[in-house]
Amino acid sequence: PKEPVLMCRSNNYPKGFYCSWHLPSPTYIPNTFNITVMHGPRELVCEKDAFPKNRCHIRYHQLFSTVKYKVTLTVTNALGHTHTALIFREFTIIKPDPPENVVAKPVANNPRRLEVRWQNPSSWPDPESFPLKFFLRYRPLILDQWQHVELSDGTSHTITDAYAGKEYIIQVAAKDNDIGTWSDWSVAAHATPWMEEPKHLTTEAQAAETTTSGTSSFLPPPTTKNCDLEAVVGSGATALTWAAGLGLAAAGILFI
Amino acid sequence: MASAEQNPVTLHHHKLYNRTILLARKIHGDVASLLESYVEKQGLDRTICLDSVDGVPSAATQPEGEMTAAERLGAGLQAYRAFQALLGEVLEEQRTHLTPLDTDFHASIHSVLLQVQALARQLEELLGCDRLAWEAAGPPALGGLSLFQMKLRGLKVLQELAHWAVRTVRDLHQVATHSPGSGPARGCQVQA
Repeated sequence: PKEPVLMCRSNNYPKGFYCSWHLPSPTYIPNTFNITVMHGPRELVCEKDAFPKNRCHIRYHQLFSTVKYKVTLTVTNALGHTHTALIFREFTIIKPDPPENVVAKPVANNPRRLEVRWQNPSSWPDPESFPLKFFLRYRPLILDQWQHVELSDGTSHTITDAYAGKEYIIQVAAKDNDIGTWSDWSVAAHATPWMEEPKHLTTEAQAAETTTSGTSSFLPPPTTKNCDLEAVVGSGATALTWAAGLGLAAAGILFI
Repeated sequence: MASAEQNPVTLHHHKLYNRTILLARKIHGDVASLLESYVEKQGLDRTICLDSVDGVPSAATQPEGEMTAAERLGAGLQAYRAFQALLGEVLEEQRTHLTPLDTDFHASIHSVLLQVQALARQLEELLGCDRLAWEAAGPPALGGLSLFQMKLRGLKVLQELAHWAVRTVRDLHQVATHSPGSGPARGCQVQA
């Protein structure tokens, strides 16, 4: 088999880390994978998941250790075997999952503000002892250029330079304050800054009436409007009258 | 009901905790930068094995050890006292043998040394330790190491110090979180 691809990462520091693997190309015959994890001279247990089968978990037996970990993965099939190894220190594989439940909302009466809130990744077990910092990026949907803000604490931020009326896309990433690397970007949140309520929609005639009300001699007399209304009602009434007349005529015929 | 935050002693310790956390984080950041320049200036590979280097306090600890908060901070204090002497030696080795002309580099090491001294003092204050009970190590005990061994030991000192700083940040966060409003983690359980 070809050399397998191996990756190790701690998304739940300081509990432990996991390693996952795959083959770069299919072999079409059965393969067995054997993984060994050494921390200095000590071998650690890597507990395999039931699913996915290409992943196992290691619990830290020491924290803040400068001693390196060595993870060796061997793949064996009927045609032979090959292996790959990773050597790393505790801090270098720390990478939180992305922040969760990112929500952005307009701020009332502020056409350039958006309030963004999110939560620590639920997989990060002890944010009090290992606080996360965050990186926020946002842009209007119509532009490709992201704006970035790094935030050392808290799980909310108010964007103050949004373009009024433009829909924004917003994402957040997380990293331990001191160690490890940035998470992937969160699921995107969308929001549009607050906009003043549009004026009451009117017809052209009503708009003219509104804007000139009481100021112009060209104002159509109120009766005009009433007449129009009456005309509509009158039409209905006429129809009713006609139907009633038709009924009376039919009754007269029967009577005769 | 009197609020814990209104107690001036508590407020003082709250500020002291925050200041100590910031200082430990600053040390971690500065040592991380120093490590980069150290390996470059000494021509070392960062992946070089340092297991054979001893005499440097190891930051490694049990994840769920049974040490109290005071014991954990006390262990940190003891380590930082040792690092003061070790950094003094590293600085002297750089000045005398390894990078005699690189005064900027020496200043970077000296800056970290001063920060470690300050951190030790703040931990002493948090723990209620008597500074007079501890005397700083005497002049560096140079000699006996080859130039290569000096380089390796300097690297080990910086690596462990960086890890200790992160460990101290964790310990301080835990003490501050789990005993809100309380005074310091009293109990100077440090071997002088």
